[in-house]
Amino acid sequence: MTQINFNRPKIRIKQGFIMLMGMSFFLLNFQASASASAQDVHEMADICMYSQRILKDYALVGMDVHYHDPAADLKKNAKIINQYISNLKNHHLKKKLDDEIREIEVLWKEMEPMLLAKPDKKNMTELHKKVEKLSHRCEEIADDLAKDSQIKGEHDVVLIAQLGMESQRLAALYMMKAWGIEDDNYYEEVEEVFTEYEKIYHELMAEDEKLVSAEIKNKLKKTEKHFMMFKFMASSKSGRFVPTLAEKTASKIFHEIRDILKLEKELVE
Amino acid sequence: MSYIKLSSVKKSIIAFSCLIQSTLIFSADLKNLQHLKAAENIEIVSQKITKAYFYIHQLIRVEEAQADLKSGLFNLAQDINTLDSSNNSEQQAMVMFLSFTQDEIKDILSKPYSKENGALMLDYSEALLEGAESIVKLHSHATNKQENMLITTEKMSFLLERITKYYIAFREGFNDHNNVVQLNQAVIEFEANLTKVKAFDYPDILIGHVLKITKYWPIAKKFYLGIEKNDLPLIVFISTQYMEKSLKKLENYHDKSLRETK
Repeated sequence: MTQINFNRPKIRIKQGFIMLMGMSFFLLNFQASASASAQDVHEMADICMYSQRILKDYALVGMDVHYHDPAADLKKNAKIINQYISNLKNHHLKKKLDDEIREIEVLWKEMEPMLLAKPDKKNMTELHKKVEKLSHRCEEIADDLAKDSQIKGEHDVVLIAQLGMESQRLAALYMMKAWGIEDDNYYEEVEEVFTEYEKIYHELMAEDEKLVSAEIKNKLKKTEKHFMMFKFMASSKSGRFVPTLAEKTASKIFHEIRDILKLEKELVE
Repeated sequence: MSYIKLSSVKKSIIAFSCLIQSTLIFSADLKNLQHLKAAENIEIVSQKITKAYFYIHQLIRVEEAQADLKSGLFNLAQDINTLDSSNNSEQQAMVMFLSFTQDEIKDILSKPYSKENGALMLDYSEALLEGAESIVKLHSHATNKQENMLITTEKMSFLLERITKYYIAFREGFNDHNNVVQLNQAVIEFEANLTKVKAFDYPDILIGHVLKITKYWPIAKKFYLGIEKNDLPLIVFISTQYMEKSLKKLENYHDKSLRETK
């Protein structure tokens, strides 16, 4: 009579389990070290731009300006930021990048309830600081993601997105001023945005046409004119404000840059 | 050639060059004055156009408002044209800005009224004012009392247009933070200028006009600021016109006195 070895299946199950664990570990490890995609870069760059746009809308709602329905825009853009953060987290990028995304999430979650609450002048300065911190950090991370994607020309995509962010930053600063928020450094900040915008603009204009086409350069030139108009309004010391016109101009620049971004993506990706 | 002949040629050359120099200075002064006047006109027209836009929409004195709108646009184009002849780069940039704003205004006027267009018209009038004001600063050098008083009375006419613009826009619901601040500011400025007018020693023939402004202003002010709850835009329109007419008389007086002293 042959003896039945009851221990054998146990060993097989144990071996299978170890193999399965090993494979899972390998797969997880493989996922965690995935390179950033072009989509990741766009989403991070958009977070920078939307954060400033939301701040601008917050001030518009606060001062009771209804042009372009800023209250609805604010809610819509907050949802977009949440969606992008969730997408970025689910892509399981390298640990350093993943940590950076979570850093952005923490910064965003800190300010989100304040931004979605009824606008209050008392919170504006604090919110401004928080948004500035988030958008600057976000720009750096978008650049890290662009490098990690190893797509030639992705840096230019980030630069164009930065132009968008700077224009919305200028709009946010202006709306705060129009709402009567005291800011001793307002004119320095406007100048800083202008300098930054011009620096990026010239870098893009000097870029090889294989990476930034002549068509894109022409469109950048047109958008720069609108930006200069805005700068003229923002630099005024007359004490008069044109929030509706500023919103119209800021949105025009925003949409023009979205179109340029689309063209640039098609060109380099 | 004798010494006497040489000396008379020399004198003629000097006299001729002096004449050319003074003609050049005079024409530069004249150009400067023309540009100053054109920019000041734009300041007033910037308010008048938007005010008329709201009056037409609210069906108040439509014919008069339409005429104001038409003449306002015509004058705006003329004044921008005058300012365009400058070589000053700062002014050239401003003229570009004014032209751009003028086109945007025309674009809105070609469309039916909407809340969004109304809000934009208010801001475009401010944009025109902003551009015109910066050109006025380039050309304005008030040096004497008459010149100062001329500027004061012109400013008061402008402020009346501005105040009425906000009054009529508020009736349309544009009473947001920024507009309220601007209206209050304009009222304060008007009163400060009125104090200067009251203190000025006008000839007897003009005293009646000063008294008229002093009499109408407190009544109109209550309507402008919404303190007077009765909504009577026609009364506001007419009393503003009375004050503007009297202000025009004072302006003409200062303008004439200034020309006589120059």
